[in-house]
This record gives sequence, C-alpha cells and structure tokens, in this order.
Amino acid sequence: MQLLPRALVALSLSSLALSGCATTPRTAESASAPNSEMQLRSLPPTDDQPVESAGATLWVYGMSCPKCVSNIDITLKDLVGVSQVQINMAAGIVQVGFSGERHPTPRQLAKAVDNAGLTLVRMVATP
Amino acid sequence: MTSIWRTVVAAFLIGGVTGGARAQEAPNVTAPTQPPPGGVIVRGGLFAYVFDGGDPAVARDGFVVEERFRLAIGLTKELSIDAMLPIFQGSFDDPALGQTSFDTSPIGIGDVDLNLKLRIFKEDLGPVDTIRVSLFGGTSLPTEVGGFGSRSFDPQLGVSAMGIFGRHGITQSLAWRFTTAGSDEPLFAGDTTADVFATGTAYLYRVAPDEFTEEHKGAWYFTAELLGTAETNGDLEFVLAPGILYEGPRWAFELTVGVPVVQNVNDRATTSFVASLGFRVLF
Repeated sequence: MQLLPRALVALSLSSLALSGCATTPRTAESASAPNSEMQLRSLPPTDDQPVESAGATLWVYGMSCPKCVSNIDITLKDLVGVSQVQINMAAGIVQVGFSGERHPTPRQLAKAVDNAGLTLVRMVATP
Repeated sequence: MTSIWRTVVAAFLIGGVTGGARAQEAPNVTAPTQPPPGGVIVRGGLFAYVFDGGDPAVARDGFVVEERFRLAIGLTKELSIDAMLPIFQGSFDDPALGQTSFDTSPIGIGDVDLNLKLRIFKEDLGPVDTIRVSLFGGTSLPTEVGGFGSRSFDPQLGVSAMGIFGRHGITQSLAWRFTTAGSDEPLFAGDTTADVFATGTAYLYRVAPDEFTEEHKGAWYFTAELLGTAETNGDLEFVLAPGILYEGPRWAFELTVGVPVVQNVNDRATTSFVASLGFRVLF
C-alpha cells in the first residue's frame, strides 16, 4: 500500500516532464497553402504600411480549442478596418476581410495574433 | 428546501451568470493559460464536498458547498494577475444536537488567493498543437469570515505545464504553499499549520469533433484529473476526478466528480466525495 502514493507522485512528476516534451515543430515553409494562394503577396509582419487588398490570409499555430478561436476573433476584430474573420482551426488558417478606407497594417495583424497568445506563421494579402 | 440546498441553487445560478471561459483547460488543475493584455476573465465554480470518517477529535463529518469566483487580468502578453474569492456554507454533525443532527453554518468567506502568473515558455507546434509553461506565485489574504480559512497570509509558488497534441491534452501543476497559521476546524489541505505540496495532473481527450472544421464551433472533452496534496505534518491525499467538459467559443460547461484514491489524513477532515460544476461564459 505504501507503493501507491509513491507511484502517484512519480506519475505526477513524469507527466510534468512529458507535458514539456517537444515534437518537431513545423516551419513556416511547411504550412500548407493552396497553390493559388502561393501566388499572392506575402506580408512581412513588421510592415507598417496598411494592407491594400480586400483581405489577408493568416497561417496561425496553437489554436488548440474553440476558446482560442474566440481570442483571435476578438483581437482581430478590435483592429480598425477588420470587418470579417473566418477561422479553420484544423488547417490553422484565418481569413480576414477588410472594409472602409483604413485597413490594418501587417504589424497590427501580427500583434493581434500575438496578443491572442498564438503564433503567426505566415501572412499573405488576398484580393 | 433546506438552507444548504438554497445555497447550492443560488451559488450555481450566480456562477452560471458570472463565469468566464478560458482556453482548453481542466476544471481543477492550474493551467498555463491567461487572458491577453488588458483582457479580463471572470470565472465561477461550484464545489460540493462530503467529509466523512475523519478523526472526531480534530474534525467533524459534514457537507460543504463552495462557490469560487475568479478574476484574471492580463497585464502583459506573458503576465497576468489572478484573484480567487471562495464563499462557503457547511453543514456539520453536532454531537450536542444528537447523533444524526447537523448544524448548518452561516455563509462564510474564505481566504482570498492573489497570484501572478508568468508564462515562461510557449511553443506552438502546429495549427492545434502547443506546449506552454508558466510560473505562478502569490499569497492568500486574511479575509476569512465564518471559520472557513485561517485568516492569514500563506505564500505559494508553483509551476504549470501544458501540452496539447491533436485530440490529447495533458496539464501538470506543482505548487508549494507556506502555511503561516491554522484554522480552528481544519477541513482542507493547508488549513492546519503544515506546509502543503500540491500536485495536479489532468488528461483531456477531445471526444468530438474528430477534426475541427469551419462548421465546428464547440468541442466535447473527457477529462481525468488526479489532485494530490502532501503536507509537512504527514497528511497525504490523492483525489481522482473524472469529468466532462464542453467548450464553445463563448461559453463552457464542466462537471467532475472526485473520490480519494489515496488517503492518509490525520489532522483535518477527510474527504469522501467531491463534485464540481462550472458554467462559464465569455463576455
């Protein structure tokens, strides 16, 4: 019976170690993108010029739950000029639509993803 | 309806209205999740504890309902502050009233917990997969009213790690609480003057959907938690708590039941059953 408490403590400690176990991260280049979108202009996340197109497609990692979707939906819609956000969690693709005269900059879009606690992998302008 | 059940219903309704949703996280284990900068999350939880079979010299048998109100504020993208206010009502056996008579306590307030949480590691490995680690630390405040706490500053330090890989998620937290004063009638770990080493292990399995699509706005999870406390007075307890969690973009519902699987408790009440219910809403 003395073994059981020790086994439970060992289980707790080992799961802490396992939860920090990293698998091989995917790189930005390996993020899947439809061929047609490969032709679109990449948006550097440090660019301070407003995006001129009608929208942007963002590849985002770490959307592990429906709440994360809400987080990024909120932070993106807080930006001036963002009128629509459509998210495919499994693919990690966030489609952002713009309206009005002022559009957000790539830096603002990148910061919105960062503030939501997620990782921006790649961003392109979409017509 | 008895007073205790009126409290249960009222606490559930209050918790239901004021709860706040968080990221995929187990109901009871501290997770390395936090609101964005300037973001505020309000969360409520209702817990019911049954204490039975403890040493009558140190604790009475009884039934306690706890309503937890939590407020988390994002200070930076890596740092948040978290406050937790517990409200209690209990019904305890009273030898003065007879063998089977119970004395219901008035509603009491426990010691408020105030903690800072600092995310020290984040690695998003894929659209869904992620690993996060946070340090947390703070203290309880001497706010106790009604006998449900020790009315003292009890500092604590801890670490929490979470990994989510597809449909599987695991969370582990470890914390040490330095206890500076004891309660007259100790119920929970930390209510005596002994320090507490607390562990929480949680496994979450996404039952549905198999794969997220644009159509899926919510997810069902099976949860299993192992909650342990080891106190410097020798008391040791592990509670196994399976449950279910539904999480949508704006609200979440969770239900767990827990029973002790290891219990060597001599200095406080012994838990025979615990249930928790949460209904969380994101505003």
